[in-house]
Amino acid sequence: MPSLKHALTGGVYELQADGLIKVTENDLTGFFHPDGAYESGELTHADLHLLGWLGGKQTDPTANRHAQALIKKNK
Amino acid sequence: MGSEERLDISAHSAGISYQDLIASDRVQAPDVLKMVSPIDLPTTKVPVSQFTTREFHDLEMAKLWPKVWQMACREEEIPREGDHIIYEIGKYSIIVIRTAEGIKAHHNSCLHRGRRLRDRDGRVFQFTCPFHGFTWNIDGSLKHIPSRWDFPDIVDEEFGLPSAKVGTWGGWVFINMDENAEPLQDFLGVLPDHFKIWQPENCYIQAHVAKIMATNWKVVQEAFMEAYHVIMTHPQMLPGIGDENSQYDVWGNISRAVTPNGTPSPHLSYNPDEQAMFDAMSDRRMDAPPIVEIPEGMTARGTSAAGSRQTANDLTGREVSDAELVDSIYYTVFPNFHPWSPFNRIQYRFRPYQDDHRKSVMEVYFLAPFKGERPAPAKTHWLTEQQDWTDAEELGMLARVFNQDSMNLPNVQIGLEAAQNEEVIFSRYQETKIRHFHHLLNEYISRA
Repeated sequence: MPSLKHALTGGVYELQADGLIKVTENDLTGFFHPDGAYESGELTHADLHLLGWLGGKQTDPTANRHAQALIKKNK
Repeated sequence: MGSEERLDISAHSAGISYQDLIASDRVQAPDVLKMVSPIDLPTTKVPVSQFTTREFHDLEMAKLWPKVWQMACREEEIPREGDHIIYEIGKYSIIVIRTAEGIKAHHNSCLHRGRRLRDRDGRVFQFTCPFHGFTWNIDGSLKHIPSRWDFPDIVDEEFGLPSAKVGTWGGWVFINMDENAEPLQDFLGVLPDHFKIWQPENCYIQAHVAKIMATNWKVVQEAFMEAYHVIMTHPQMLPGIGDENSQYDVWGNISRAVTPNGTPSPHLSYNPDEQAMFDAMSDRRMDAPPIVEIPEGMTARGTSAAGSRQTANDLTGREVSDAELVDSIYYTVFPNFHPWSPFNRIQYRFRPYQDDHRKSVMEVYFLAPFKGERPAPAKTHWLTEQQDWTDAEELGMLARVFNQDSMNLPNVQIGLEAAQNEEVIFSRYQETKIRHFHHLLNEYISRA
């Protein structure tokens, strides 16, 4: 499942099959909704914007300025 | 702006300066990106009431919008005689129409009983009021009054539609409701020179998305005038964006920010390698392979630029620089128009939604270069207040970036309404563009 590491905190954000995001930071784990709401776990707060980025509605992952041209070039 | 003082530009960033960064690029930046024009302005604090009250909205309606040049549409949206758009700003409604004599702008109100003459964009060869049939030619002159005998006081020659001034630059159409306004070219100052190499007149509207926001127009606009918010709002970008390395400049009614990509944020406590920088730029997940592996000796900036250079070179007939292809170069034309350099395609306009000071319209244009026959401009894709930016698939990954911004914006409005402090405060350098905006806004509002 899609996952990201927070560049400032080092926390790992992992999208779960049920749409929640599992966040592991400083040996604590919590589960959150994409809108930032806490669901369960010892970790009770996570980065709202990274939760939304990973768990919100997605777009074509290649549809960004830096990736697109290279993908075309490499085809 | 007599109280200006020059900033010491070496004092503003913890990391490499933008000028030092582009000096090491393989393909050198054009002269326009080597210009540095920082400015310090007296405005650092702005009353909260300017974002929250009907009274300040009414001041803007009386002293700003009827007096300032503002972008109304693109020339390509009205290519034929009779083609017109309705440009609305608060309570004002202007018909912008192409005539045999050029583009004209008329106030969209029947001089008989006041009905809006046109409810929608389209093509007409006269304006006939749907209420009683008063009719004007598209140049604004009176054409016909039903039961003409019943209006003995009307003098035909004096009964033309009130007009607004029109100017064009770069394929954009501007209007100004003040008949004594300075010419558009004087108002724009350095802008046409800066954009000469980018030729926006030779670009077309590839996408146009307009979203209603539950937020004052200035609150929304100001979220797109600095890179200072990236640290908190767009954390996924940090390994590949020099947010704090951005350069901010001001010239007259124009401001500019340049935010470098392919360089790490000075806020990070580690040094990402070139691959990590590129991965952040291309939104690589931990579980996914890289879009491209950065070859030994290459940089993230160079790799990103190389990917799009050939297309850009073909379109422009010159070797396009790394900076133009990789960085975010975003100008602001006071008060609400934000042209970017064309290889990023983004252009913004922000304005009040109808006559509501707590709602606004955020518009995103993708303005793209083309070769050969001009493609038809994209129609406006409207999103409601409740819709997600990703409902506009044409925006690609940018829609998700806007969703992050949109998680803040209505909450800024709510917070401002609840604020006990009387002023908001803007930073000295990174919020230069916003301070410049408020400085000019206050000049307009203070005028008699």
